Amino acid sequence: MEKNPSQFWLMCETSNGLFSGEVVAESQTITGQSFSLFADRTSLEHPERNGRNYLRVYAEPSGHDKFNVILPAAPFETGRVVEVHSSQMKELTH
Amino acid sequence: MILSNAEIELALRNKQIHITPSPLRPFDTTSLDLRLGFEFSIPKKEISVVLDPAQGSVPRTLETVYESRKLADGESLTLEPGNFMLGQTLERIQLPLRSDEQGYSLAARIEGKSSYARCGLLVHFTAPTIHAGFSGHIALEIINLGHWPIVLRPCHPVCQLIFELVKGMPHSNPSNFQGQSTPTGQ
Repeated sequence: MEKNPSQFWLMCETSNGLFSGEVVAESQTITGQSFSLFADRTSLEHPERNGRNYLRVYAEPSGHDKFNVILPAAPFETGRVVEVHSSQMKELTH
Repeated sequence: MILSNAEIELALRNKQIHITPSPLRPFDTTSLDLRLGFEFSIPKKEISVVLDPAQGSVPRTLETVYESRKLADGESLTLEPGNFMLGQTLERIQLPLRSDEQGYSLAARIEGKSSYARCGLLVHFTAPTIHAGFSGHIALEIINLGHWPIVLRPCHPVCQLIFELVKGMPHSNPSNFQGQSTPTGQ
């Protein structure tokens, strides 16, 4: 039986967005394509800082060492669903 | 299926929708109003730049071509005819992904208000869909298409949110489910 998407952390680099509660989050797909999106600061593991960070996403394993990720907003360069390497993901503990 | 005001209240209670601060009540029959926030991003008109959304540098470029403005309590901002800027809703919205057994996911559409539209103000144009799984303040693309300057005041209801039921759990790879005859794919 297929599992429903769960919440995970996706590794990203963040910088300031256009509003104080917003960041630009940058990451890349499993094929190395970079993507960037505006995200809410509260969606970050470390909301107070920029640089290396983790973004809260919904995701499902999509095969060996791969995850399909539903991003919280549409990136500029890709669709809202991207495939990433499992090394970019981290378990989210509530 | 669009949620009625009673169903919106129920969805808030069941945590299918999170909104902070609490939205204005009473709700309209099939929507709730959202208020204008205090922060704006205003294009720097003196900067000449070509934006290419297919290239990766757009978000960082946008940081450099907009200037931030945060209004204090009681302050307002006047938008001249033909001018454009970005704003945000005061409220932060979360639409968690949920399976049907967990009580369904909701998506939403943001729409303007006719009172502002009659003045020539578009508070949100293009891309109105707030997808299931969204979390954050909603960015408002504001433009004055009218003939006269329009005063914008934070905390005033400038747009409305219409909720729709998402049938089934959204998955990151729907092709996994193509050709399946049962919900579990067996």
